[in-house]
Amino acid sequence: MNSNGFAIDVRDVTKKFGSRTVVNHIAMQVRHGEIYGFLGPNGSGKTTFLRMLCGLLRPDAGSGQCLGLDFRTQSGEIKKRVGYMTQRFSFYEDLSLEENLDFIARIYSVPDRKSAVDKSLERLGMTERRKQLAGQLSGGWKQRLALSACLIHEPQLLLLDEPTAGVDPKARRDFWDEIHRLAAAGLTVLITTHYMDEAERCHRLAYIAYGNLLAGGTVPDVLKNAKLTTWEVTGNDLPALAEKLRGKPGIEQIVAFGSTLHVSGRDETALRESATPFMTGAWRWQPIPSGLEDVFISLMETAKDNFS
Amino acid sequence: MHRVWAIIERDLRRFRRSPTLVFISIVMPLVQLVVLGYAFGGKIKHLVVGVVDMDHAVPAVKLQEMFQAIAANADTFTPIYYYDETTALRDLKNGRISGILEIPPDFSRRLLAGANPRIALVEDNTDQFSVAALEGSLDALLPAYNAAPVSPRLSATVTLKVVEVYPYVPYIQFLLPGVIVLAVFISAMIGGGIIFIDDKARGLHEGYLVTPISKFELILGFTLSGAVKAIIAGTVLITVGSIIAGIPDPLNPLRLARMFILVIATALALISMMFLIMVRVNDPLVPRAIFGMLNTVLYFPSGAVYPTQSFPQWMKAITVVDPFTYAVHGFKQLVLKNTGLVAISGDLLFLFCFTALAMGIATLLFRRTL
Ligand SMILES: Nc1ncnc2c1ncn2[C@@H]1O[C@H](COP(=O)(O)OP(=O)(O)O)[C@@H](O)[C@H]1O
Ligand SMILES: [Mg+2]
Repeated sequence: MNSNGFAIDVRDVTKKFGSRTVVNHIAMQVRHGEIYGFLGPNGSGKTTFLRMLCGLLRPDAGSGQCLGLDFRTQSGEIKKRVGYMTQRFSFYEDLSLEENLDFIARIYSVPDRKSAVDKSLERLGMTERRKQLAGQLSGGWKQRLALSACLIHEPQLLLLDEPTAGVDPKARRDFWDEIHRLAAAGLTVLITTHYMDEAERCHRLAYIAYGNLLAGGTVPDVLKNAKLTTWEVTGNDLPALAEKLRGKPGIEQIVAFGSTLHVSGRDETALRESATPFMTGAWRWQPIPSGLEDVFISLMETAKDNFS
Repeated sequence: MHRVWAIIERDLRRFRRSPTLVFISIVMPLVQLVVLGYAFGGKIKHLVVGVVDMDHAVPAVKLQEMFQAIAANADTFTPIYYYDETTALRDLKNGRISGILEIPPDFSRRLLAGANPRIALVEDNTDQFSVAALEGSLDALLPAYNAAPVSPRLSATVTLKVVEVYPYVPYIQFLLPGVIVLAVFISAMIGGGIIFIDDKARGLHEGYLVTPISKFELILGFTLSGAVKAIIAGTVLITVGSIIAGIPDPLNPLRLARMFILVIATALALISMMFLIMVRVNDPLVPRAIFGMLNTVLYFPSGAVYPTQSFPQWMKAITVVDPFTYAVHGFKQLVLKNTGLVAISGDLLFLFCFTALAMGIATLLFRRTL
């Protein structure tokens, strides 16, 4: 199968659990060497989608290729070339770091296992702690061990499922630096996340809710396509203002940001009409560019009306 | 094979780090051996039997004398004498005595008239074991009494001579084969299919299902690593158990070698059976919930604690397909009779075929996806 420049190129991917459609005709194209962010609220189908890509779940419909291999019929081959970091860390707390890595390396039949494990420990900066039990590691270190484990067979594609959940900001930043280094070296990375700052560190991203793909592209593309207008309001007694604005035509989101209020909506004219009566001396209104979070919340609200 | 070894090594490393599991799989069967062995094993002795003689004539006194003689010989019971039936019955109901031998008032009269006299044995039949022991001893009383007046002393009477082929086997030794199998079974339960279910519950299985490992490699790896643990438990039992049960020459190397082969066959059969039962289970509570039941359904019909000949038809059906049966039968030959491998070749054949079949079906049923 021709990969035509994409590491992942799938369409109409669908998965049902019973009568519930959890992933609904999703298409995704990820270029080689790209960091692709996959965002969406909890339960939107991100994990399910990743599992279908690496052959852990069988899709009900869909077609396409992953690393030039048919993702529905060649999952055995795909598995050899993909590193998957599960949402729950999949290693053994009662085995040492070294033993965990050695186990994975053996399962992947890595040639020269010993040096692969040594190299991996070295990159982790854990050579001296190789005998430590994995269960004794802190969250950040666990996550680094998990990343090392899924890199040990030198995959071409990394699927990372919320790798930074519950990890402190410093460790998160280090993690992302590592991801960027890997991508620069040619690895393709598909990563799910909840964090907006992480979304902005991806080359491109997709947003999914209720199993439906709602937006995709680069961050500026997503912002532009959302056609969302946002005003920032400063002044006194903002909670009272929020109460007055709520439910007015065109006003879709009112979010408190520190000492300011963000008011957004997709219908610019309606929003301005509803806001005009409150543009008095007490409150200062100023148009600002919409943030990714505003856009995603807006997308999700709309999706809720359409799909749930 | 690389991958199979990876799974085995991983499993054994984890096993080594959890001494509780090692302890349970070895110590529990030993405890059972000792407690069950002594709780059921002993001969019943010194049951107190009341004697009520309502006749008092010579034939009745003679009967009493013979009864007394049997009591003194066999030790099974001790007679005490009552003057009236009411007191005796009250004591029987209170549990102070286990039975009453009643000689009715017309005993001598009927005997002399040749009119089939009767005596009665009133039993506390809530306790079947004591009753059986009592009836067994009294069985000797009547023939002796009947024979006495007619035949002269020292006449040639035909008696059944029981030839015992093997030395007397105390119950604890009878129980040992079953307990060896039980130790292997407990290890199979806590070290077999349940490992995979716990992996599933913790999401660890995703980690290896996403690798290129095949179904068969996974099942073989789990089966072999579980078997190693079960074999360790079985090996401790065939040695320590033999010593505890007082098997003559307990460390005879040839017998231990034969038993070791049977331990391997038993471990493989029970582990693969557990894996087959658990192959589609996801909830880690399920295996824990069904262990007790499995234990009852497989252990008792196997003849490990009571001879299979006494079983009703439906239970005999279980006995036939139960791998426990063959393992227990094999160990009985080796432990109690010290036979060679030929005597247990049928058992070994069954256990190996059972293993192959169970693993084959488990592989078919195993889901490679989540
Ligand atoms: N094996 C399963 N059986 C039934 N429902 C499932 C299964 N796995 C996931 N789901 C459901 O599918 C939906 C999507 O789940 P998931 O893909 O884990 O979402 P996300 O990763 O985006 O949080 C959820 O509502 C979840 O409950
Ligand atoms: Mg998820």
